[in-house]
Amino acid sequence: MRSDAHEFKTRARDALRDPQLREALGRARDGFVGKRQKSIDRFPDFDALRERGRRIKNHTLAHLDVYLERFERQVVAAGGTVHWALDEDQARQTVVSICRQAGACRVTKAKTMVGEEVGINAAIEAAGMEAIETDLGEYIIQLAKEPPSHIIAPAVHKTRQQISDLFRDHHHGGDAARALREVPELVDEARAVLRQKFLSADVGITGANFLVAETGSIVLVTNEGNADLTHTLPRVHIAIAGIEKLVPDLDDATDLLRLLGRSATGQDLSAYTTLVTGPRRSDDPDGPEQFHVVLLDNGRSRMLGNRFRDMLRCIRCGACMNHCPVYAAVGGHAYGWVYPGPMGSVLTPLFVGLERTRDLPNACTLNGRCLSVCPVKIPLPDLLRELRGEQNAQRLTPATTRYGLRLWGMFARRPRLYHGVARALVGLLGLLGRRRGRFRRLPLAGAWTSVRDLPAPQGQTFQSAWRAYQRRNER
Amino acid sequence: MNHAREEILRRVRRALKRDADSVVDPDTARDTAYASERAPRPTWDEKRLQRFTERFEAAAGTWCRVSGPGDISGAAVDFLHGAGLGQKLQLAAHPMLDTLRWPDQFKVACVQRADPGLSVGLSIAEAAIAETGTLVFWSGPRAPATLAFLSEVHIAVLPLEWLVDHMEDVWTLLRKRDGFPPRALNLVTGPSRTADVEQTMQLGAHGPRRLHLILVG
Amino acid sequence: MNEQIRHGAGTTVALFVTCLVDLFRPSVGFAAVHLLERAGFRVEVPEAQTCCGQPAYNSGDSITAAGLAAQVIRTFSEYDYVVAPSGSCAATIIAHYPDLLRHDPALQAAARDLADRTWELMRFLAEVADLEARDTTFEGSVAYHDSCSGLRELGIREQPRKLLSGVHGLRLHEMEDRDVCCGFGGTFCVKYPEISERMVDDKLDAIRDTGASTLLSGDLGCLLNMAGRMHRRGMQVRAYHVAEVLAGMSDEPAIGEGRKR
Repeated sequence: MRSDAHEFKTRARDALRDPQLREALGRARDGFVGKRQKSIDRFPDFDALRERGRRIKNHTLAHLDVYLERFERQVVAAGGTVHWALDEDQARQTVVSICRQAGACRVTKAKTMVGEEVGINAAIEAAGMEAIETDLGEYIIQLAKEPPSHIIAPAVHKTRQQISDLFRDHHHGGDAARALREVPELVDEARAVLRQKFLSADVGITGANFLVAETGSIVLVTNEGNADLTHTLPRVHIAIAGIEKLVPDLDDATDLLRLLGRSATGQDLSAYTTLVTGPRRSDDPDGPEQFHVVLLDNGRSRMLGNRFRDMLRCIRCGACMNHCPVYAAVGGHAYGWVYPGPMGSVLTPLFVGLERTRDLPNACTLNGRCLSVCPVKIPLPDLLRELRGEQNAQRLTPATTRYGLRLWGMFARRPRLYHGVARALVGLLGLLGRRRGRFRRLPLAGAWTSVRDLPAPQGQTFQSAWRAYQRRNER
Repeated sequence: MNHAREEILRRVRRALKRDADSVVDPDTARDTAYASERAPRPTWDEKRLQRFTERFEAAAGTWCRVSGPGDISGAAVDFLHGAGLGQKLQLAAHPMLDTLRWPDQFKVACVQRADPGLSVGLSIAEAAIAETGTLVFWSGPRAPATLAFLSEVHIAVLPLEWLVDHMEDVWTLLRKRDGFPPRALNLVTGPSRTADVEQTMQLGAHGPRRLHLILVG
Repeated sequence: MNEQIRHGAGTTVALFVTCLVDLFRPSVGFAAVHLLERAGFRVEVPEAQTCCGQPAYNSGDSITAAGLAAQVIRTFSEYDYVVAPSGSCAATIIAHYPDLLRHDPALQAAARDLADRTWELMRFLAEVADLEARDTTFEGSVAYHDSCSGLRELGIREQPRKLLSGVHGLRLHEMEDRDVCCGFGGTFCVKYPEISERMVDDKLDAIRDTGASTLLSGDLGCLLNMAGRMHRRGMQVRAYHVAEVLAGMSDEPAIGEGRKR
């Protein structure tokens, strides 16, 4: 998918001025944070489980080649087909060609972030087929022609009124006679419209929450049941997943499911957790005739070999963005690509390139709340700092910042000079600010004083005051 | 795409500083890394059944209990009657349901694939998990996946002896069975739901609006 | 022996002043000295210190940061205890120097050694000095802001509360979302002032809702941000570093307040 991450600043500014968005984000933040906390309070030792999750993913990544091959063997043994895609292009081509060979007209989709990453919908539509999102949130933003703003709740930024307007415009030929105000009315209408799509789809596309090497299964987690209708009803099922989604066996998947539900929505387990293995068996009454898995690299193998391997542990629960105060202020669209929030601020530069994503690693206070809730303990602040280092090394940081820091560094490494200049400067500012105690405006501090006063220095540096104090005591 | 396969595996091995012939034993490494230790799991003081029903109810499921398989139809009729859900029902083709007797006015169809026009489906769970209040369905001729997802109301039947504590116990139990894993193994915890509109929980997003369980034994 | 160390007994502590305290609010440094001396420690302030290098480190300039880290390591090599009145600067030394200097094994070892000897002030007072603030009085209700680095990188949460609980007349009111960042974030607050504004405003609303008349925190960076915004909004809450209140130095004008003639 095309990235608009370079527009972060303008998008963030627009978002901050959008009262409906503020209302939606506030509601979401309080809901997600509270529910997660409640569910982990009931768990005996959630930190030990997080450590387990970290180790499971680390081990799997350290043996990824073996587990990928094991998974592939098991998929084939179950009658399925594995496709490998180096990049977005290959993934799109693979999916479109499977759809074409199936003679598909209509393709239903259950929410897949990797599908968003490679831009599957646009490719399917360009090939003359209809692609319909079936997760209610994804469906809403598909109607609105917007990308998701959250990986678990794609339409979290939309209010009920906005959704109601969308449904009025798109359903029943724009007939406006019905009430469509309350949540049940909206959900029921989407259910009825999408039920017809489910029943007439030729191909169903899902993502995968986990790929289980032991059995060649994909694990799908939803609350709506849409993924199950997506893979059960059409003739062909395509699952698309990043290569990092592997886990060794079902017990490992179980540990990670315990982490996922609690971290994402505060549920012990989502309403529907499904293990899909191969296509319809000879005596099965339902299920697709073909089962395809598309394994996507798209930069993941590169991350495996560098300082960003930790990021491949991500299980896409959304807890980091739910706990991020920057995300809560600007919402998901400001980040400009598929993955928002802290995990997105690491992933987007790695996938899209540092050059067009300069703001993302910097728009963070490194407060570490994301790390404290991450179910697999990804050191997100460290990775963001690491990206800042890469930016600096590639001279993508503004020259004023780079030279400013170096100059200040040289200065700070000469303590005598530093203390002398500091004493003079602080003395001046202390004098100027003595009566009011703060500055409303100050040359060179415009960014600070644009939103807050600058408290005035007390007038002496501690170093000079301390030396004076000691001299007095010695006498 | 064969090229892509080799290229991805080559890149992965290069990142892991290995070549294709390196001898790697992930299973031993896995034991050392974590698998030899028991994973932290939820624990509870109450009896298994009590834990199960408590979690099942927390997930918005309803349930009743009967003493034997012969009473399943009576319990289903009572439930449908009490909830005003009519007298039409589609059943999975499961031996446990073959010999059930239904009131004359009931239209009961034994189906291989759910008819989306009919609103109530009844099928047998293969196991259940006390930890989470979860029912486990094994897709196949005896339990069409469509029954559990296309019905407006899903009635599930669970013989009590198939209730286990944790999800791992389900794997231990089912791994031994022929044909494991089935095409779809559905772990169902309550009826379908969504919170995609303003974070408000609404039941019946795409799957059943209600999930009713008949515990047998 | 153990008891003696716990209660100072003339052991020397080096104060890592932090650049913000040095420049903006030396009274915090004096408060720290006062508290350490009250606990029986002798305090030295090495003159060769300037800054821990965090601004450079967090901006991705690890060369500049490593140079400053090496200077800090040298300056404080001879002390058993190094104490900083800031969770953020202490965390830079304790949690980040060893990784920052990973390319130089000798320096990294020295960084680990320094990390083992370095303490954030509140933690040091509560856990090493065993200080009780029983002879201090502060009449008023306070809200306490946990700085993110101190809270999550050093586990500082109960220590300042325990110390404050000994102050006569002080009533602590906990705020909602107390583990959420105030929007300072070092250079973040000047790079993204509008986002920072929303964050600090949310924080100020939470402070206002406690009804407290004073805001305390263990990090001057957060305090400058919050106090500056409170003044801009015309909020009548006074801000102090927690050490100032513990040391009984709250007769000083609060952060951002002018001196009466």
